[in-house]
Amino acid sequence: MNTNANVSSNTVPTPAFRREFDDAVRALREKILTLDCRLAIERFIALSDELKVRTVPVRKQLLETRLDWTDDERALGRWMHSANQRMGNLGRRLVTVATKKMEEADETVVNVMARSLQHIGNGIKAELADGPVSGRDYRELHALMRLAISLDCAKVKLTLSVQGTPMSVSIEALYFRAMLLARFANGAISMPQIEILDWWIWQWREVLQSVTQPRGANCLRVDLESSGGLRLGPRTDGLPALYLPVEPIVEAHRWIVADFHAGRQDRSASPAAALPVAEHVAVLEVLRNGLSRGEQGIGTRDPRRPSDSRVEVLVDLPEIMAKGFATPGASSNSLLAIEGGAQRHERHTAIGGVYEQSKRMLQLCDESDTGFGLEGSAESCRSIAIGTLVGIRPSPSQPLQICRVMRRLAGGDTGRVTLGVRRISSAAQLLPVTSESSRASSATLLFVPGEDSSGSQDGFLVADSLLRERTKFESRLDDGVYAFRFNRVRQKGRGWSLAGIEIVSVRDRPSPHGSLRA
Amino acid sequence: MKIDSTQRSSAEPLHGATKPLPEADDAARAVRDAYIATRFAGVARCGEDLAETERVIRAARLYFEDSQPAMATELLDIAIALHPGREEPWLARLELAFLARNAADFRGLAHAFKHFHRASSAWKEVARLGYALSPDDPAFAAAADSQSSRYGPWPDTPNWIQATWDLTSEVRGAEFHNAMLRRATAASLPQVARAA
Repeated sequence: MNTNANVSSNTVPTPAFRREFDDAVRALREKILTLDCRLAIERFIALSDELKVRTVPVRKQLLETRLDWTDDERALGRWMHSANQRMGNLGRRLVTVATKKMEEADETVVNVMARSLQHIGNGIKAELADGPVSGRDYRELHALMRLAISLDCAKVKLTLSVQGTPMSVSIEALYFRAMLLARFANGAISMPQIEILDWWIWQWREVLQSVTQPRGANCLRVDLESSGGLRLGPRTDGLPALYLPVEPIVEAHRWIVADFHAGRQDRSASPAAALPVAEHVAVLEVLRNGLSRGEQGIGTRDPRRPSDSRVEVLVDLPEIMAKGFATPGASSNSLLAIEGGAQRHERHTAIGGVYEQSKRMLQLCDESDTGFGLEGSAESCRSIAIGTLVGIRPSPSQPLQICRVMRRLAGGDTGRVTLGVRRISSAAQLLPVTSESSRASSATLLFVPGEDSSGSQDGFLVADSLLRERTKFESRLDDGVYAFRFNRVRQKGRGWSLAGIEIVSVRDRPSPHGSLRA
Repeated sequence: MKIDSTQRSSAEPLHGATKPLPEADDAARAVRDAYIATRFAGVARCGEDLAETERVIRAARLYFEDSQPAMATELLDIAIALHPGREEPWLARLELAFLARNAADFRGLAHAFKHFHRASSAWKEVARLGYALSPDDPAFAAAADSQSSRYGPWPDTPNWIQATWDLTSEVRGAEFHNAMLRRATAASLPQVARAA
């Protein structure tokens, strides 16, 4: 393919360029058996370079977009995904053909193998733009790794360009990079977050080394003859497997944490490094959970019960508080957060606006003891992201279910979005309070009872901004006025926290005769 | 108080997580503070907040009780690294390592603690706990005599994590929980009546 000299590589590829590129890949694939191997490899490498260069501005644009993607951006993401997948597939075919035709596989074949693995990994990252992957097939990846093992080049290192930076990396590290990305790119991680994860994996490439025997129970495993991805724990059927020791990755994770403690972060090192610290902290948590699960064995999923109804979904804390607890005919006096008198009128007007919004109806697909599966149009799910707080009332007789969005998968061409939400509480209640910091101001907080009758797991769902102040709150209940403070965050999402409390004091206890003291 | 890293003795390797952090420039401090504010939301907003020893230890204990030991130890680790001159976070961190029966972690911490707080009156107690976990470690050998007079597999634990003996706060928490349950029940009755 001839690069169009009139189009800068810093610009997002146009639809015409994308078509031209796809045609070139298709043409090379069709001629792969008849073309001279050297020439085919040369053309593959040229296409690979082209794709790498032209997807840099795409990734940059998608990462910088804070709002939901436009249709054009979605199309770019899908192309990035499919183009990388096709290049991975083409590269694997080329290596297979070349090893048969050539007397000895030289470094150019190893280069094609490495680039193929890199493209497959890049494609997995872009999967988030292309919707849910049902039953991802890993045979392409395994086939490349089997080829590398048979050619005795799995541990061979070569230099690849990674986001414009030359990096020395082994074939097996590229393979495990793709496998790790696939393990985490399951809808529980956003596009910026997977870019951060990928950047870290590149830094860890030295520790992504396979071993043939498990080192303890905490290991990741690949069964090369299967179509499955990374699994946890040793193989039990006696067949051979490749193992990726977890401890070096855990150690690398510790180093990242240590760097944050020291404030060491070169924000200019890559677009991923420049992303907000909060995104990095979220990825650290995803990794921590993903790696520690290995110690506990494979987690089981709660049984799901199919459902087929439409439910109203309230999004974010203000809407949940304003609409989720309103009784018919009630005024909009349910305040959203701490507010002073001056703010109250404006806030009430805003709440009125909330009431005027049309309902956001989603399909309830299934439910389990711990959460729900929902589906809706891209439009109705536009403001819902991973970590968003949602309120769902599965039926009029059931209490409002307050949940956190754990997975969000855009359905590619279908325009449907699939959500997986985990229940936080089905017994939340609004509680009027006064705050110490601004005397005489009233507010309403959302109380979430814990499972434990001791109250030690009780908390409030609050906006993050509220936690910046160390305010003492008071609330009158039937047996006195309780004063409390937030003392830690027990769970966190987009703009909200489930904050634990400590009861500081109780006053105005009822007298023995049953009435409250003045 | 910052301890100069040159005070370290090469013969005494420091526990990895508790090395004092070097003085940070503005950019590094901003990154660290953003990390602390996100990771320990509601507990600390920046590195300076971690100097509030009592608050930090209480939060660490609550994380530990909430089955989040990694949060608890990390909070204390960064508090120690930023303010290594304060004994209390060290001791709380040691107690958590002891409660987790993590002998390697405890040993590393104990050696580092001894390095930074040679004159600490708490060392005898640290050695006593250390001896229970690692009786072969010469650093804890002096505690052997005190162990022989004790009965039971584990020594009594100190209360460096500030677990309160006064249960008033816990009782209040349970009362609050129950009062909120009564409130929910009272609120649901009219709805039930309407539905009927």
